[in-house]
Amino acid sequence: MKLQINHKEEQFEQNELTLYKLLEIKDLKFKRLLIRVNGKVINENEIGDTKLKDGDQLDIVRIISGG
Amino acid sequence: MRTYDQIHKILENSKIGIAGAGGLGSNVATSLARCGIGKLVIADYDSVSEDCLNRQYFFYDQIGIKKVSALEHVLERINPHTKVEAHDIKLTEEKVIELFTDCDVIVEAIGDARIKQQLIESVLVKLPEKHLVIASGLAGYGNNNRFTTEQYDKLWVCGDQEAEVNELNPPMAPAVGIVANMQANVVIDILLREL
Repeated sequence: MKLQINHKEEQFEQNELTLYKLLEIKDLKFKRLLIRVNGKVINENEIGDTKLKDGDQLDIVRIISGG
Repeated sequence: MRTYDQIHKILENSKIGIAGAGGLGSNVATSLARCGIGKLVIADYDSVSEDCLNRQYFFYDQIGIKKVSALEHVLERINPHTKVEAHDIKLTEEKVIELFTDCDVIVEAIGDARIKQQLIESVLVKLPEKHLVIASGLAGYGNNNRFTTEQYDKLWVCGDQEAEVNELNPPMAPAVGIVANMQANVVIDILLREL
């Protein structure tokens, strides 16, 4: 499947992916992240249940302390 | 191209919300006041301490004063035409919406990552039509070229999305100032493009 992640198209071998699995693949599982799938904010406890489909657009922003 | 007078007119009719008056917020506010923004709504609950002065736009004689009051005085001296609405409160998910709902652009300038995320998500969900300019990753020193601005619809992200603040990687004036001014620069750009 293809996903659009932060404006870039990325190809994955899997035909089905959960958001949780994607974060695992991208080594982002333990990071604090702001995530939107097709514009909808996904909060931390929705990550496991969020299924991704071909063509989904994701914004994944790392939230870092400091201000 | 707009003339200087046209730019000035747009900026003086603008209202910007700034969540936090620390290293980012104080520097964003002074930069925007110098540009002649008409109104700034600023919220923070903290007071100025000596260790703030390595990066925040306050002065030694302001130690002990609430940051929003101290910043109000600084801004008054920079540009008395910029009106300041200062809120001495700890921002919550509800408060951030209430205070900034009629601002043209909202700037996120929070230090704590958890609160940062909560407030960002709250604005994205409840005020989806609003431009939101956030900062993420500004600790340490050197390597200017690590800082970028990414745009995701109306969400703008300034910083390196990498450098956590910790004992070995403290926030310091140059890098914090760069990111704060990147945020202010995005605000001006949005206002002049959209209004």
